[in-house]
Amino acid sequence: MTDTILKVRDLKTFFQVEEGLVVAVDGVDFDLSVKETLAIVGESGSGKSVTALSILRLIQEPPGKISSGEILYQGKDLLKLTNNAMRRIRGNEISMIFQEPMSSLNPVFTVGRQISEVMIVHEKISKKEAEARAIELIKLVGIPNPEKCMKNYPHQLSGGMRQRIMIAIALACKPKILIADEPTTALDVTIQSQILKLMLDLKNKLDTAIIIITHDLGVVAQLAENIMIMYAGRAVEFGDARSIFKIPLHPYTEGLLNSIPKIDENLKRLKIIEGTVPSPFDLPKGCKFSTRCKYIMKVCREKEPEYQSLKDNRKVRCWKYSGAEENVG
Amino acid sequence: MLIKSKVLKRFLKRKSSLVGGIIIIIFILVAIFGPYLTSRNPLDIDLRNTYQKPNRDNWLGTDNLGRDTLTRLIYGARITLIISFTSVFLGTLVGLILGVIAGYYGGLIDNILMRTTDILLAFPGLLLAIAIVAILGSGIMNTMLAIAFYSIPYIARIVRGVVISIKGLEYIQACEVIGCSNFITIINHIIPNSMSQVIVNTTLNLGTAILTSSALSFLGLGVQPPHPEWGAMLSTARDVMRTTPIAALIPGVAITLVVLSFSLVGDGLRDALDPRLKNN
Amino acid sequence: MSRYIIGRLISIIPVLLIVSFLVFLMLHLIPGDPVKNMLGLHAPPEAVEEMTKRLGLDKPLHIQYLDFLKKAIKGDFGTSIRTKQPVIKEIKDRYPYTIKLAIGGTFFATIVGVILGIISAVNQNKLWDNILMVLSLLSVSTPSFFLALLAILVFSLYLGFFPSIGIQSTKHYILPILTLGAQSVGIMARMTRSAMLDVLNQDYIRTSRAKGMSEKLIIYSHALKNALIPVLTVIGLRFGGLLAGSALIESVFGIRGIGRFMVDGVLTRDYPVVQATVLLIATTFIIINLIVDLLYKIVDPRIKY
Repeated sequence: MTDTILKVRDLKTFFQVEEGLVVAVDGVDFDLSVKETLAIVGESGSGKSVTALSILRLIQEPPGKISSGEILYQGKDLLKLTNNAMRRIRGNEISMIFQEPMSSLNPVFTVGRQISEVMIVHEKISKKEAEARAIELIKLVGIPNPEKCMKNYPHQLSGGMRQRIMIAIALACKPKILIADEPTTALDVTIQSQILKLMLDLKNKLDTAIIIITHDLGVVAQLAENIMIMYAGRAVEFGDARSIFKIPLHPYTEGLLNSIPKIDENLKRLKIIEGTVPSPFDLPKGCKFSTRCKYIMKVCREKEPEYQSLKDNRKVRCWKYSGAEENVG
Repeated sequence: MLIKSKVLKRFLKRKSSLVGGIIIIIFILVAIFGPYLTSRNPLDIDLRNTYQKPNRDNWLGTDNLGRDTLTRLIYGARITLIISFTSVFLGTLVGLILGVIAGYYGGLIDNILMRTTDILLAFPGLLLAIAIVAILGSGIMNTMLAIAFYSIPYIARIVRGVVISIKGLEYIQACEVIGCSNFITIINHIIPNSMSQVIVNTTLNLGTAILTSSALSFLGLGVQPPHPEWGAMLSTARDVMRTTPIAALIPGVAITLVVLSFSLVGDGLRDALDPRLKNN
Repeated sequence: MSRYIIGRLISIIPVLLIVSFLVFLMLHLIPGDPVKNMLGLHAPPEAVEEMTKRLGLDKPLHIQYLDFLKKAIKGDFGTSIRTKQPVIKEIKDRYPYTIKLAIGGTFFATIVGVILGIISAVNQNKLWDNILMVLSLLSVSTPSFFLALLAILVFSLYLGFFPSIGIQSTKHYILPILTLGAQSVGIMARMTRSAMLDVLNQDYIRTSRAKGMSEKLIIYSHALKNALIPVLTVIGLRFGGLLAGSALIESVFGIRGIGRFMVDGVLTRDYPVVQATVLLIATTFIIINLIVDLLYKIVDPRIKY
């Protein structure tokens, strides 16, 4: 296959809160290739955002802590870097955009300053040069009248505009990886697809790999080449988007896909996954999905399944497939 | 009960608040029972025995008229306790009522009441107290009124805010739709919803009240001699700073310690009652 | 911008009118006959009548208020009953001392308080934070007049570093300013700490980190500018507190300021002096808050003109 740019191995992140210990991410593994678009999908609380924040070491410590694992970016372990070395990676080689465009920009600085400062810090260019490039970037993310936009404060822009600015900031130093944490969730539906299209265009222009974190399978279908499904802090399934949409392996993935209403189906009511996400303080002993799974077996309640590799570069964490590779379509 | 024990546990976990609480309990006990423990009279003058340093007879020395400082300190605790608790209680009560009225009725009444608090807040606290004393005259009673008066607007604002937020709750609005009197409902909700804020504010106000009453007395505008108010004692002692500094140190430290304790307890209560507010 | 300033200027006029009316009303709220209060119960009837006329107390209330207002605008607050001098003349001599003390105290409290607040917030719940927060509570809890006496005791009487009384030189200002501002140092430190902690938890600070900004830049530029917005309000409020509180400090250090003038006025029932000083302090406070409002505009671009 293609060159791997990011390798995450056995990532564990926990939070020490008043009620006890929450293991938000528990042993997540995945690879990201150059120019790949990977979607990490899961419900809120599945650990997908924490995974993203852990990669950039943006977990607030305390209460959070990355307790173990490796995050190999171009072969070097980000978890072993000094704070200063890590700072040179952030916003420069790996950048991130967030869910809330309304609150993710600093309200007391102009948009122009917020875009240029990232280039001034990482590329040591002059303020003037940075501003000229910032204008180009604003143009690139499709905002009319960039000179005027430079002087605007965030509150003068709409949510969609602010997310475009966030994208401009993230791409200013031409990063190798862009992590987008629910970048469209807070936006109107019409704006959502514009932003997704923009991200896709820019990715192709700049050869950036993208990790997109989302709970919205519509977004995944538009954007992703590969998908990793997360549940209760664990990766439960991995595969290319086409095969996962066609034949979901994990019962949870199946449930997720079934819960999307289809236009050509005449359903009386929406299909849902029965039950609720277990509390992080009270996870079931065996498979974490066992409390909601319709294929439940005895072993599921007793032992947690391994995250095993199947053919076609697919992976799944489910007892249904233990030693039964031939069952896979 | 479960909630209360949790609050208590969180409160006790903070050592500084615990120490503050113990000091306040001692202060209150001294204020109530202290006078029964000493046979001396804080007003007894002994002109042969002025400006004594601490000795076996007068553990904390004597003042300019030979009065026993320890006895005066104990009686002063009583005055301080009465002034601070009465004035804060009065101010909180009136503020609570005005806040409920403003929040519940809204409209013109709310507007008038809130603009009035704006105006009152336009006067720095001590200035307002001095102005009230200028009108009413000095003395214990008027000191209490002055301090009560300026704590009204703060409480009124807090309670008004809580009432308005309760009014916005869906079930209260639903209650209105089906035509039941929601005034009673709101009153029933105000107590649990505003209590933590009011308790914290009241505790902190007690400290402020002590500071203000001692400041007024220090200036000669509050409790009048020969009453042994701590601020007044400090004022008397300043003439002999060079020779008998302890006469000023004792009431000064007493004021500081009690006010500090109220602040520590207020802080501890805020964290314990509402952990979310911890950083504010 | 100028439209905003003019708008804000106009908006304080009703506040000033109400405050002046309240101050005017003080004289009428005093139980008993104000003239007899001033002259004593056994004053001869002619003197009482003369004083009643001089103060205009024989006219209807609203006429009295308009007279009071007209004269106040011209700076005419009548004659001090005690010193027989025009009140405005005394005020002109004394006001600068008080203003200098309050400004000095506010500067001292703001600079030291904000720095300590930042140190505390950055080291949240660590040793330095705990020490600074206990110290700031101690500073809030210590009566300024007690601290002033302690300062005189230590720095003037024992060490002889500073003069203990009077206001003849710059050196005379140091202890009064420090003791006046000390209480506010704690208030500012606590306020700055909580504002900083609040800001440091905001999404845009996470964005700054994700951009690879250094922690120093994030704290001193990205976070501080946001945290200063609530702190600014407190600066205005503290200035008012220090104006009124200077009465205590002036009394301890024997400074002929306006605060002590007011207290002397209350003690001697010199009502023209009391009215003038209360009105002046309240007006100064209102104007300072107006200036703070205008400063907001500089720190917070979200405020509309």
